[in-house]
Amino acid sequence: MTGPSRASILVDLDEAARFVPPMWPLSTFVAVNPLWDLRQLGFDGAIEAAGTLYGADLLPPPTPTGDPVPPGRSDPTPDGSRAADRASAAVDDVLTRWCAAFVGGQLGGGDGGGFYAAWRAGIGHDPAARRLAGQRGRAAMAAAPADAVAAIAVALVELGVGDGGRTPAFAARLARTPGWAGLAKWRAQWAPPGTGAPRLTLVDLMAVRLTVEAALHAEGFGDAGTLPPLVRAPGGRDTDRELQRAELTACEDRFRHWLLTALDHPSDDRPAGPPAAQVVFCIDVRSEGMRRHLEAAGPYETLGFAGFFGLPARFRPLGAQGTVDLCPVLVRPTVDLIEVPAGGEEAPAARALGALAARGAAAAAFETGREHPVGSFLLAELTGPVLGAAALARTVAPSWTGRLRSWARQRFTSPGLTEVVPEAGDRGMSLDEQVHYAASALSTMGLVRGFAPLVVLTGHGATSANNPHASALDCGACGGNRGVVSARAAAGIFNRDEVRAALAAQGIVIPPSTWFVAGEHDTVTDRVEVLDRHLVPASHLAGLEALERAIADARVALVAERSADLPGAAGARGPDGVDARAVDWAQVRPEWGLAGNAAIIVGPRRMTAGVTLGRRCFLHSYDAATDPDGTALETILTAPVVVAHWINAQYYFSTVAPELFGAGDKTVHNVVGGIGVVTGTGGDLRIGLPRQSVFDGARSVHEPLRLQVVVEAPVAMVDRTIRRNPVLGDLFDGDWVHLVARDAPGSPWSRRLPGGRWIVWERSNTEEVGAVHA
Amino acid sequence: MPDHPGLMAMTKVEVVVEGTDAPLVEQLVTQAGASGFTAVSNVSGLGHGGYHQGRLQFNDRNALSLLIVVLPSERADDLIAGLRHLFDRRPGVLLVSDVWVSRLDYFTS
Repeated sequence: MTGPSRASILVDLDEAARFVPPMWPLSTFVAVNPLWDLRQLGFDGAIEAAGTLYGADLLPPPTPTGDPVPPGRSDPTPDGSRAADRASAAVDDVLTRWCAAFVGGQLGGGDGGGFYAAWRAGIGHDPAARRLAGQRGRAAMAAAPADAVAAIAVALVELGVGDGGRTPAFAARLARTPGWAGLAKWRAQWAPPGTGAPRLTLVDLMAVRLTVEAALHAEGFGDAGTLPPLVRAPGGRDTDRELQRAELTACEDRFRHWLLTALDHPSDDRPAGPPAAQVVFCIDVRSEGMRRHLEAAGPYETLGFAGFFGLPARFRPLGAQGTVDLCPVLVRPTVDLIEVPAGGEEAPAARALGALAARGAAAAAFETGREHPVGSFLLAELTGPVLGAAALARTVAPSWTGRLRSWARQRFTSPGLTEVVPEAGDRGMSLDEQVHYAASALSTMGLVRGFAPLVVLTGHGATSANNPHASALDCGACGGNRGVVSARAAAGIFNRDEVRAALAAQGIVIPPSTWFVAGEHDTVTDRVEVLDRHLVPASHLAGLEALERAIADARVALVAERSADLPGAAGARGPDGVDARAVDWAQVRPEWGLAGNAAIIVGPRRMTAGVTLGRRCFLHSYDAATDPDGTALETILTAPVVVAHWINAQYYFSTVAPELFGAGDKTVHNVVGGIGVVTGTGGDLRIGLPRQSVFDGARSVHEPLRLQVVVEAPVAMVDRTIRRNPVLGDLFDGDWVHLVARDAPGSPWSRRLPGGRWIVWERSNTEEVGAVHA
Repeated sequence: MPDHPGLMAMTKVEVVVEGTDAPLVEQLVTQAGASGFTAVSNVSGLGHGGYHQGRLQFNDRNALSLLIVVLPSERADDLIAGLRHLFDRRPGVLLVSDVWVSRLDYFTS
């Protein structure tokens, strides 16, 4: 048997990896549809294919909520392959340990040679390899080719895997450890160029796995070709799955009925005159509650736009060496932003940088001491009493210690007043680029006239303590980071005279009396903080203070609303209660995040004003009247709608298959290499959302529904946009999302069916309205 | 094959793929021993699958990419075989042609 070509190995491995969800590192954890690369199969085809490979049921359980037995990976392993499964489990065990050691820096590989090279360099002396495969098996591993692709080719020959069997063989092996495979896939397909992430690639991962299996096979462990058991049937009978599909569709019909009925009766009692301020929030479902309560608290108008405010930015904080990408993962950053001291604030900035450097050095020394075999004991003796007392204080009085830490941070490391500006030169933004981004943002959200004296661009973030998945609660449109930087930069651009002059030439006239301000909504505490106050003209301060009072009222109302559903928040401790959650390091559920998300509404605010949507809807402002050629609509459908689908799908799969596509119980997580978490002491990296994000005990809090897209725009234009964008065809024709649209207020809703046929949505066609909503 | 005195005969491979497949094609090109390639993202045009948009405002992923590589003919075979294998499963266009280059060292290092 001759070996396969290198190119065919790479192609087949990439094909097999379509079953693997890409996994972003914890620092930039963003939502993704774990089956995104199977989207061309359609929803039914993808869950069937993935369900078969993983041995999982990927439909909601027959009873949509309240199932006392959480769903998950089934155990359909036939008796005959149990021995092979045990052998595969043993390979899984050593492989995941080696992966963890590599990303933790304990396997070598510091020369940039990658996982396979580091593994091969040390495998000849690895006791785990000898325990697994014996002395000769370990020697065979060490004798594998130095090149990873060549090692795969050799192992495939040993295992008897021919041309037609390569892709399924690769897929089955990747499916044994989807977390580590997902990290490798992220690195290959999504990581920014020049990433410093450990060089663990799909080729390396497969080379190690197959080399181990080939050595085991050569030594007579396991049956030929049965390592691992490749294809597993999902649990349950076909009739059960038909029932589950029918129930899922019925739930989605009920939701659609409820939503469209609610939208028929908006109670738009906003003042007829110009608003005192326009407050732009992220499209995130958590903004819906704040928008509703703020509009009820005063003469304010709110809008929804992706929280990066249209700036695909790479940002360098003041004094930092590294940068962070602040844009959706679908977009490559093209502009560089930096933080600089405001005029006259250079001295406090310098002091703060000195304090931060000292703190960084102390932290580094502490870590070095902690890892030293002798120093760690000395360190414990020296610091134990202090750190122990601090830990006790954080445990028994989290609010007090949180305030103390906040004060200390402000006192010693605050850089004073700063600004976020484009980097000078080619790496920043030319005036033309600033005008382009400004015009694009305003026209996409339909804000091209009627500007209020104050326009607040409100990013969002989530404050939580001791939470490896913290970035999952931050702004996805900002790459899993807080949105404050994007808001500050965008406000600065909108306030530039030169930008406004160029916008006016395009017909977007921002009056001189309008001032843009940056803000941030903390979704754990529901505080909305106004930033860069020093930049606000005195003429606008009174209006700003009035707005802040209204925001404070809105906060109280929203916190009361949220607390009703938040475990442990009953008793109405109000704002103090959510403040405490944000700093409590024992809190496993700082907020519910985006649990419950089920729809995205694309249209003007009058569609939804006054309607209580229960924080279940992404809201993207859009005005078809200002978008005659459909450019803005295309932008919204191909980017925010895709991202909303990813979030929706992540919550769906984390709920229906929590053991496979969810991260499991947070209380037993351990962080590995700063990149991901494992359950307990080892095993695969956990993907998806922690169990506490979608479950309350055994009860599923997130209702797993496919995203309902609601658009107010000419239906013919919507249809044209879908037809010319294959990704939209995949989503809408593949039944990954549902779509309804109407030409104008009062027009009938039309529902697009897979294949492109539109039917008029009629209330009488739907099931009864279920009590599934807030 | 016509003769062009002073120029060296090479093989040019042009590939149009979905943007998400571009990293794989780049990997195949590198594995084939090519010394470089040209990548053009967000290409637009009309094909048998209909019209494809160019750059989308906030989505760099769901557009087509064009990759062009010139390499010695003896190195092209494995690359072409790999690309044909890829296009058995994924959409894409493969164009192979003879070209002549003036600076051989640019393409064989």
